[in-house]
Amino acid sequence: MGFFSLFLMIFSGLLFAVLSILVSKILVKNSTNFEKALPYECGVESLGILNFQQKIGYYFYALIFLIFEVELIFLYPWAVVAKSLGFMAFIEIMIFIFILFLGLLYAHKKNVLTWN
Amino acid sequence: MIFYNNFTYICSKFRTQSMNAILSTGIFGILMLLVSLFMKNKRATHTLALLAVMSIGIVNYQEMYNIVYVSFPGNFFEFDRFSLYFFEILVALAFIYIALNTKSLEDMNAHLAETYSLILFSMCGLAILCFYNNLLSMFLGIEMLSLPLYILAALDKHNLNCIEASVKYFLLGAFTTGFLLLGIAFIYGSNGSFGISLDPMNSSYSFLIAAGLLLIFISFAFKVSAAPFHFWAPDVYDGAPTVITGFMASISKMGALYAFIKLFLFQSKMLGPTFPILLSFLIIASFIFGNITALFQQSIKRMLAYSSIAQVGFMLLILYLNPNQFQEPLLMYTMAYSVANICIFAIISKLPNYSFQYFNGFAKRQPFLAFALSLSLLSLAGIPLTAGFMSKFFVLKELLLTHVNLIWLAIVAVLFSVISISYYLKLIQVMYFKSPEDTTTFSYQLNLSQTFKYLLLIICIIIIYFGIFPFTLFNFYYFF
Repeated sequence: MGFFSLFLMIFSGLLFAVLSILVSKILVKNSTNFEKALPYECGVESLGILNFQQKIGYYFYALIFLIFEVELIFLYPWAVVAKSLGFMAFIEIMIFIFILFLGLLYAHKKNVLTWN
Repeated sequence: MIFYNNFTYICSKFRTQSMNAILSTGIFGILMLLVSLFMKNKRATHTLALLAVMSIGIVNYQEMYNIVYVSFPGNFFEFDRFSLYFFEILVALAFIYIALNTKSLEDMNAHLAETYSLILFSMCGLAILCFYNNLLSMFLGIEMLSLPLYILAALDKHNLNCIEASVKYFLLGAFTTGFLLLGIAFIYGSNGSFGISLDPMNSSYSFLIAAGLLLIFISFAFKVSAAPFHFWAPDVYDGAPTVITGFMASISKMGALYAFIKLFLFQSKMLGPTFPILLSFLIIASFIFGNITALFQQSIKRMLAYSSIAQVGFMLLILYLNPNQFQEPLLMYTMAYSVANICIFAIISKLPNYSFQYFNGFAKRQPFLAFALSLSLLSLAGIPLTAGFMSKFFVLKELLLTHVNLIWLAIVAVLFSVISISYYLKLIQVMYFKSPEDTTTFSYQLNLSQTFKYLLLIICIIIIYFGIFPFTLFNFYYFF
């Protein structure tokens, strides 16, 4: 009976989803028109199509920011126990930072960091 | 003095770590990325990529003959002899693949060195998948294999089909990665460790282990595109650039298959008697969906995608075998299937379109290409005197030696491979016995280098050689 509560959870979750869809199907008066099929954006009328190329310069910044985030996540645990791990761990972490630095160098050489 | 001691300590650590294959693939991947910044010469980039793959092979070879059995601390990796040999074969196949496809890769987009580095990163994933001894490293390997493949599928970035294929592949792949992670979490929850020897400490949790294994089974079946989980394969194979399809269909698929076999050959007993039933369902579904659908395809690429689904059905028969006899069929199948697929995709990546009409009278225009294509197709179909026959023969032989009661499955497999011959032969018939309807297709000139033709000749020799002397492949594993 160890899994009874688990099954109860799964079952009640399914029941909730099915019931809420069913109830709204039964109770709601169904109407279709052109305006309803349009994408809704805060009540403003939509214009044009979205199938064009967008500038994604900002996302490159976000990705490079992510590099340093990951670096930080790995550096904290190392910094806490740095003394007991010794010189070997220092070299390993330097190799790790060097690889991340190469990523930054790549981005810099490819002119990702210049905003235009 | 202290520095010197540390230095010798580091050197000794590197000598015993024995992760050469994994490390070297990763390092060469990063190196190729840096090369793209400074080197604009395409020929030099090709040479460097070939040298990189060759040195990975040499490093792995050297490791294979120096160390018999080394376990990495923490049980993260295990470098047994068969894994090292299997990875050596994958590296050799990658070398042939890159050597054949240099021109196609160059024509596809401007970022040549990045393409090579992505291929090398995905080979790093293959290395991890060959040597994993832990669910965590298995997950790492699968992700490292597939993430570069998602990008490679969208390499031709001005082609909308390409991007659609990549997005489909990415979304479905991410979805099944969720299955994999949930399965690993279930097993960790019941077992308390990420190890792949799944003996539950508390027998009341074996239910959770079975559930976890089932989820991992589903995600692996997706990765090798076995039948009920095959829907991504035709679209992705068709949409992705043909060169990349060649990589996905041959090398990366066999790596994922080896990881699949490595986990489930030993651990399927946790699923109990349901596992053979589940497996036979998967295999027969692969045969039916792959073979029957391939009969009706109009595009060669889609036909090959469905045929690769059918081939996966055959490969999954290996999962029925005992742990001490799966090596020979797997090695033979890897060699035969990958070489034939690399050859076919390398040839059709040179052609302007992939419809059957284009191949009308192809043998008159390009006799040698038509010959190489026919030989590879015959090898995939499993005609005797080609490597493909030997691979199917070894699978069925070992299957019937272990399980005599599975003879019905062997008969089904043979019947479906007879059906498969019809669509392979259809292409050969079109090439040799039909005359072209209009002459406009002639106007497109194929520019083929001499090297390409010599490499195709080598591939043809490999296919026939392993069809006649299959034991050469195992002799390297057993005796040298």
